[in-house]
Amino acid sequence: MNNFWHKLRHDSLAMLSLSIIVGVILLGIFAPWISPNDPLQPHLSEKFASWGSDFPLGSDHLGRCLLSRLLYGIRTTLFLALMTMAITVTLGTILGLIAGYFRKVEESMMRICDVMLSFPSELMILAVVGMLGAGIKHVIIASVIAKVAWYTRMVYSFVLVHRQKNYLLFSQVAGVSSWTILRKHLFPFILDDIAMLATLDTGWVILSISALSFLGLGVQAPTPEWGMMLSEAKNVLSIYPMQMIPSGFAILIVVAAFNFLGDSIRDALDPKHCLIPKSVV
Amino acid sequence: MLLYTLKRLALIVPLLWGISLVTFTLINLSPSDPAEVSLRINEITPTPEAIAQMREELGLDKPLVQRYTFWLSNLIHGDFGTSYVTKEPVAQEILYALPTTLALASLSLVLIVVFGLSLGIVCAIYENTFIDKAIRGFVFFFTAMPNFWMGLLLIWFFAFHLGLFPTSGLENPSGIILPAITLALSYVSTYIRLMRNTMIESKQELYVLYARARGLKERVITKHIVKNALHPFIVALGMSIPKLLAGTVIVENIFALPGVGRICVNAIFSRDFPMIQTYILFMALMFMIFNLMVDVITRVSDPRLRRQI
Repeated sequence: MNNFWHKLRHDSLAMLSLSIIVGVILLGIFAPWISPNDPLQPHLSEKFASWGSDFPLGSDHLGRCLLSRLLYGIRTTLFLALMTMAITVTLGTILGLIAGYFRKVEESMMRICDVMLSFPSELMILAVVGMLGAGIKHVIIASVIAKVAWYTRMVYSFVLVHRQKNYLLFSQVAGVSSWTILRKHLFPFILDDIAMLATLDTGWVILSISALSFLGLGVQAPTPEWGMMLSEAKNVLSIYPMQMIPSGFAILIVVAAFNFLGDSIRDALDPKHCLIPKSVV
Repeated sequence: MLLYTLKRLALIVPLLWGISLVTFTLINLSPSDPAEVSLRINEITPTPEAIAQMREELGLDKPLVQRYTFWLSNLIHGDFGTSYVTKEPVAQEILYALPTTLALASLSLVLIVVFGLSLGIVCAIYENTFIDKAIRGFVFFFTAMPNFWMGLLLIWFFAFHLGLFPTSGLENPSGIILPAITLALSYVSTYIRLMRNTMIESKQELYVLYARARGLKERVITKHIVKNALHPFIVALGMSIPKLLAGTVIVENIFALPGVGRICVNAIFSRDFPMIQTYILFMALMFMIFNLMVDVITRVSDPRLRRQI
């Protein structure tokens, strides 16, 4: 573990990505204090204003400050993506541990996973959103459903490697409760692999939430969200092409940071310990 | 070989049955009542009597199992239901829009294969040189790029700025080029990376060392390496065709192409359940067909796999 932090700390790209992510999260938390204007307040006389002291990044089709909307958009896009990821990972870890450790449910749970995985995640999200209707709540539910089977499968395969090991068998014979074995022996082993997978997938979740909002299926107006800001910019593409730059760039930077960080974590993890081959992710 | 194909074809039936079950359950888990939705779409005030009448008309008053068997037997007879909005058979509308989506997906597949293969091979041959690093930089950039932004940038540059392509729609066949590039760009990076990594791994193998010891030309050795690296490439390609088809949803909406993805999003907005259901069934069917095709192709291309049926 020490080795892992050492490697990661000396990876300048990883540290840069990490500081971008932390910085963006802080900007999102402190958005009410640092944003220059109210993100929802239209100034109809100042539509499509260009850069200036009033609107540092200009204003949109209703004269709302783009920078403020971008900052508040962190709260929707990034925080919702992180929340989705947290729910998915927690559920997946619990289900995977159960499936791997309790042999009675192993077979049935894995078959359910097979069925869910045979649907590609993109289609699964469309199907669930289609049935539940548009709305960000439904997009989050859909993303969780689309990914949870995969995490269950991953955690399950980690557990499989460990469950025949002597230390585990010994604990079982010594009468340690299943809960303690799961919590103290198995969980710490899978933690860093899960962290890596989750980091790599966060970028994917950000893209999928903003893509659905771009289509109008996710976050509803007037809440500021990066994907939706792009879809508003799309309507004035020919006259004000600069409108699509800030939000698009924001998505690109954050997703790239998560991808870089995930890649670096994978490289920093001890290759023998890391159970996932490169081609999988 | 024939036996294997037949076996896989036979497996499609239970899988399709499973998918029909999943979509049917999903639609019945939906919080809104289809009868009420159908009334609202046609701008009829949903009074209790009207809802009751609509429920009867749509067959919603019958028990769940009976409804499922009825729906399934209709499916087998080629009747996928009628749209709540247009009152037309949904299968007809989807079949009408399908060629656009298929054209878009296949053109971007061609782009992915051409650029994924060639750039991947170039990267592996010139490993760790400037070319390799430049291409990999682009690759990383494009994996993080949201494809809806990419689409907008392409429209702005090529359609508005240079005026080379139409901005949207399909009146002109060249209207499909920009959408296909947008779709391909978000997937091609995976293939460049895959091809590069498999080729670099194969370089270490003994057959390469042997070939070099025999004094074969580098060009010939590269040909051997490429052939061996093709297999994972084809497998991964097969796995991503479903993603490509589902990815058309976003691209079709940006470029206003009259494909099934647009139909699907419109159906989600208007809560047109039969349409959504049929879209998912159609897509699932396509995934299975493509997966089958890829599995058969990999077996044809790699004799080692043929023995294990």
